[in-house]
Amino acid sequence: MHRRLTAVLVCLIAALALPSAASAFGPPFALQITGSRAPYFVLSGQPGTTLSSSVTVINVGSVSGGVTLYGTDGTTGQTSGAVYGTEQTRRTDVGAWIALSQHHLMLGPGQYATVPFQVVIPAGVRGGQHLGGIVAQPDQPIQQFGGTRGKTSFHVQVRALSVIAVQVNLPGALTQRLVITGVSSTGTRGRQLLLVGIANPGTALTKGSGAITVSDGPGRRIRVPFTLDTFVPQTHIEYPVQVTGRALPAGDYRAIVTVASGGGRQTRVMPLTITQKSLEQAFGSRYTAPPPITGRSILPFIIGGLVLVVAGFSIGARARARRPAER
Amino acid sequence: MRRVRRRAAHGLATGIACLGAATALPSSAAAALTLTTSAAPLFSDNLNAGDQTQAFIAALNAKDTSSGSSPGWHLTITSTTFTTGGASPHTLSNTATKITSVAYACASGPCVNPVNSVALPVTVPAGSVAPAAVSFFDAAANTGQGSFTVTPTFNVFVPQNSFAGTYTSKLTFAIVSGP
Repeated sequence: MHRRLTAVLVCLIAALALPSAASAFGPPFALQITGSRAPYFVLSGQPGTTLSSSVTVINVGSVSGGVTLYGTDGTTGQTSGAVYGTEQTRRTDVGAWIALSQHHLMLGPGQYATVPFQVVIPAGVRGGQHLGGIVAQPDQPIQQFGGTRGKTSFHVQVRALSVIAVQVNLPGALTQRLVITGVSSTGTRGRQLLLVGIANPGTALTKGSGAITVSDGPGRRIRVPFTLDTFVPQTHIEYPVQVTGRALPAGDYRAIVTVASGGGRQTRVMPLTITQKSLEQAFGSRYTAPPPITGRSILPFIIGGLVLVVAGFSIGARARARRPAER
Repeated sequence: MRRVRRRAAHGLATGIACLGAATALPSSAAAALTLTTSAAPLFSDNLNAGDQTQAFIAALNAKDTSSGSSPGWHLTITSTTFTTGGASPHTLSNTATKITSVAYACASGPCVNPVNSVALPVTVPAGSVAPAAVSFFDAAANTGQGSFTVTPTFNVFVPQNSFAGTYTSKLTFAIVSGP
């Protein structure tokens, strides 16, 4: 009983709070595996064959609306974790293999539809796990809100998608492996970032953890651990690690990066150069010295300075007070 | 209900989508994860006032009615570059927008608070075509059940030398049930 998974439906509604918001928006749509409580599709097959399944699309809103369905590839987002492309994203893997029987539906409130689909697996593709998804994109997706003052205004249009993953397992060895491909530095608006290149050359989805230690020999040393969410096979990211405290000044450093996943661990020692350009990216062209960037307050120094000043005056006043008696 | 199920089975067999005229969700849909977004303040800017970081929020409502074991859920975002459009568009940087914080609160119980593993700030990807998304909040397995208000705060960097005009960007949120 406790093993019964309750299916998770995924839907997204875009709503506006501003009075200036656009017209009424469509209903949210949920996706689930037809006749199953599993949270997402896990299909097993062979290269050169076709799999069949179906997805249930549900209007969980209170008004009628249309929804567009499409397949998409899964990849690894820059901060790790599986993410999925939009309608404009080129598809080369599972997203290209998914053939939905319908691409558009109109559903009333509470109404649902079962949409069969096929996964046409090309011959010759690598073994192991492949990741894609099915996306439900409401027809009335764009909610625009904005404001104007003077000659400039900004508008944000919100689109809301629901995604259910489609994992395709093919015969072959499952290798969970993350490798370190490099390290570099960059910066943006007051934040210094170290970009750790990480790739999954394996054949299986994996999660992991890591740490980067940067030192300049006898000087400063920082260590930042990080956690890696789902990493899709055959993908690569530049994972951003923020330098906390004072920024590392321009110069040459030694970076020790460790990444662990699937029972394996890799450590690489690499040179890291912090360039003046990357510092200027973070702190502007007038950058001259490493500024405090997060969490470090100068208040203790101010208080300390005031204490010293007060103590100095106090000592001086006592000395002056003693002088007449000494005479 | 039987008739609805038969129709669904027939639709599956024939490869044609089957509409269920249900007033409630299918019986297998014992759980739902819903996300509602709203954005309160839209930013406007006086570009003579130096570099600006404009903030706005998107108030999201995430509702996961699953019980027992749950795989959790992920919120992702991507966007298009802020642009004035037209024949000679002016744009902001593709790294102009960041999510600097995400707050959540139980909107209606019972709630199992989400255990989020995404470190912030997160740069919202941007391009002329929305690039690969990034996760900005997630609920680990067996967490995030209930109804939650999730409120990411966005900061948009507007350099002083930006051209005056109307800048527009499309934010694409997605809520994902997957690994």
